[in-house]
Formats: sequence, structure tokens, C-alpha cells
Amino acid sequence: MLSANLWYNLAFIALSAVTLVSALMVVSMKDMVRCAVFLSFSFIGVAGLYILLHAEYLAMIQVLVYVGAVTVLIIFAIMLIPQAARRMMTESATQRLTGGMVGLLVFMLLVSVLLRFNWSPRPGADAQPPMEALRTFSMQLLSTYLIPFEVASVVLLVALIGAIVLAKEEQNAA
Amino acid sequence: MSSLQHLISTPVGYVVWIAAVALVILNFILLSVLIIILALRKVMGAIQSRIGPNRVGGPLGIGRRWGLGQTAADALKLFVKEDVIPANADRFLFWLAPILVFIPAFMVYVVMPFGNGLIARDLNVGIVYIAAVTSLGVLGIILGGWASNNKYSLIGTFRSAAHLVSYEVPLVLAMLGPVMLSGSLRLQDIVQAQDKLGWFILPQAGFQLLALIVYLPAAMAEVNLTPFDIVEAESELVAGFNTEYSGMKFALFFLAEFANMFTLSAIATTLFFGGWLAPWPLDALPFMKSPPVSLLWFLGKSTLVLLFLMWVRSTLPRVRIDQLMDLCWKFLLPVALLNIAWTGAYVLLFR
Repeated sequence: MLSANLWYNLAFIALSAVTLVSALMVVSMKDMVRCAVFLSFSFIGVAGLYILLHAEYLAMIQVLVYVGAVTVLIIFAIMLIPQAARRMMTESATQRLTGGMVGLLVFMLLVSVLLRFNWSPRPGADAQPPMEALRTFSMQLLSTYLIPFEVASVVLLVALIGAIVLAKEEQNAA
Repeated sequence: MSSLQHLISTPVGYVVWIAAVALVILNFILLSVLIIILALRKVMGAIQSRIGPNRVGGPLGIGRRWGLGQTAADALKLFVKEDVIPANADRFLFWLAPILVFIPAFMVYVVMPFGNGLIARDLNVGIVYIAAVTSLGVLGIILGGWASNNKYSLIGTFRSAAHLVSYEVPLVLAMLGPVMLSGSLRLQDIVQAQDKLGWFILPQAGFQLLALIVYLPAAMAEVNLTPFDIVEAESELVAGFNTEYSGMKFALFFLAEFANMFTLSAIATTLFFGGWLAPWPLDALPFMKSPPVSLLWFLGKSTLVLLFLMWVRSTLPRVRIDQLMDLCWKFLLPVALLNIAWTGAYVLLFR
């Protein structure tokens, strides 16, 4: 299975490159719309990495939600900003400093987690992922993890109602 | 078959194999779009008491009366046209947008169940893959309209952002009915389930009529077919998001739109009308499940759905944007949810 490994590694390198280079572009581009476009490329790269991890369903949902909806809404919001403000994005020295600090903190947190995590396979787990991972996942979601699942949907419902209430109030004020 | 598998297992053979599959799919798209455009113009002409294309024939002037060479001539014209980029356009995004629209339209065909065994890759998340990949096209449309720096393009873009994202919701919910009945997201499994149970549109197999009623308008809205084509409403917006596009870039948008039209008809066929299965009395014949015959059934049924879409397109007037949104959120969405409840009850009670 040398060739399978070769393809796996090539795909991993290519997808990581797409993700990282796009992520770099997101923070370095001047035009916010271009930043949003590269953000979507970064999301697609992450979806590809999910596929390499045999999490196809997660990958598809990542594309559907983050690229198809979130990025579109981000671009939609950016288009409503006046053009001058959009094209001349600058940041002050303090903003750079705080941004850099936050970035560094998150990076350190990730590194510390990566170093602590036990990467060897757990004794009970078999090396091959289950054939019908999606079926197992759905079963777990609707039995073992039913309450967290329902709580998440209630949270989303609250957010939905909140958005409607906020929009209604603005309409009444105007 | 084993020599083929051996070929695929070598790195070079694998690349060649992927390239061959991609080439076949690309040629299928180009050919089907060529036919669909001509058919649309002739069918719309007939419905609206016009003649439609009737001057350009194929090689040696064959079929001049039916305008057989018209689309090929139009495509050639688009090839040699000057590629105009507006002075104030965002050149990079202007160039990127047609590609971002075309690639998803092409990628969807990877999981299309053309016939028994005729599928490029039978993903276990097939139907979610289709929903995910078609949602990528929205990004290209929005960027194209924005990068043009033209007010008509921008209005078209604003409309598309609202309408394409909204209509995705009932579209995906409508797809859930057949998925619940077959218990799989894999497209070949959905077709095989209909072989056992009967087509999902039929009363004895789950009666997905409500899902179809939601699916068809939502699908037409996703590909900007006329009653729902406010994204490019010619009478209001010149040509909507692609006003500034010309030449091959415009051709890519056009190609993607018609490729998507076939895609949505083909998915309707797969989900509701038994995919590549032969209809009732004929399905007992053994050769009906051979790859070429099943391919013919699939293409035939998809063409019928496509003709229905063309019929609607040439009959109904364009809706206003508020009517469009009302239809989506106040009619299609509740009906789609009702259908999910019905399908769940059906599976519990009648199985």
C-alpha cells in the first residue's frame, strides 16, 4: 500500500498548504472582500483535512455551513460597508500588539495541548475507521448524546428568536 | 477488470484514471449543455408560438430547419469575443468568479448515479456532498457581481445572496424525505431502495409528492430559472450579476447555469422517480439493469423533468423579491417540514 500512503501524504501536504496560505492571506490582504474569499478557501482546505481523517460528513457540513452560508453572509455584510473604509483597512499599533498577543496565546495553548496529548492509538480502538461511521455517529447523537444535542438546538432557537426580536425593534424605531 | 484495478493502483495509472473520468464528465457536460440550450430555445419558441433558431445547420447544413448548429455557433462566437474587464473592476476577483461558479457545477457530477455501476465515486455522503458543492456556486455569483463594480451587478448580487441562501433550506429539507425512506445518503443506495420499495413518488413507497412540490420550485430558484430569476431579471437589471462579463468568462457562467439545470433534474430523477430503474412493467426484464440501458432510462427521465422545468419557465411571469421570500419561508419551508413529519410517521407505521 505504498501508493496509497504516497497519495495520502501528498493530499495532506497540498491541503495543509491551501489552508495555511489562505489563512495567511486572510490576515495580510488589504481588501476585506478578498480576505473573506481566502477565508472560504481556508475552510475548504480544512474540509479536505476532515476527509483525510475519514470524517466525510463533517467535511461536507463544513463546506455547506462555513463556505456556503457563513462566508456568503460575511461578504454580504462587508458589501454594506462604505467603500473607502473597506479598501483602506489599517490598524493602529495597539491593535497590532493586542492582536499579536492574542494570536501568541492561542498558539501557545494549542502547542501545550498538542504536546500533552497521547497520540498512540487507544487499546480498544481498531486501526481501521468503522465502515458506516455516519450511522454510528447518528445513533450516538440520538441516544447517548441526546440531551447535549437538544440543548444545542434550543440555543440555536434562542439565537434565532433573538435575531428576529432585534430586527423588529430596529424596524419600529426607524 | 483486474487489469484496470492494477492500473489504478500505480501512481501514474491513478492520475491517468482520474484525468480520464474527469474528461468524460466534462465532455458529457459540454455536450448536454449544447443540447439543452438548443432544446430550451426550441421548446420555449413552440410554447410561445415562435419559431426559435431555424437558420444555422450542423455539418453539411444538416438540420438547418431546427437550428441544429446554432448553439455551437454561439459558443464559437463567445470564444472569439473580446474579453472586456471594466476599468474599476477588482481584476483578481473578476477573474476568479467564473471559475468558482463553474468548478462546483462540474464537481457535482462526481456522485451522479448515471446508471447501474455508472458512477464516478459513490460517496457515503452523496446527497450531502451535492448540497455542499452546489452551495459553493453562490460564492462565485456574489463575487462576480461585486467585482464588476456596476450597480446592476451589485443589485443582482444582493438579491442572489438573499435568495440563494434562503432557497437552500427547503431544497435540502426536501431531499431528506427520500433519504429517510432509503436510510442512506449514498445515491446508489437510494436508487437500489427504490428498486425494492418502488419509486418514492408513488403512494405505496412513501408518497414523496410534498417533497417534490418543495423540491422543484426550490431547484428552479437555485439555478435562476425564470419565475425565480430575479438575480438576473433582464427587464430590471440588464443581466444581473454577469452584466459586465463577456467572452469566455460569460460562457463559463452560462455553462455552469445549464449544467446545474441538468444536475437538479437528474437529482429529482434519482430521489423521486427511481433513478436509472425502468418503470413498472418493464423493470422485470433482466437487461434493464445493464449499464447502457439504465443510463438511457436515467437520461430519459432527467430529460422529462428538464422539459417540465422549461415548460414552467416559458409559462409563468417573474415573481417579485418579496413574493419570492414569502414563498420560500412561508410556504416551502413549512411544507418541507410537514413532509419530514409525514415521512417519519410513514416509516414508523407502514414498515
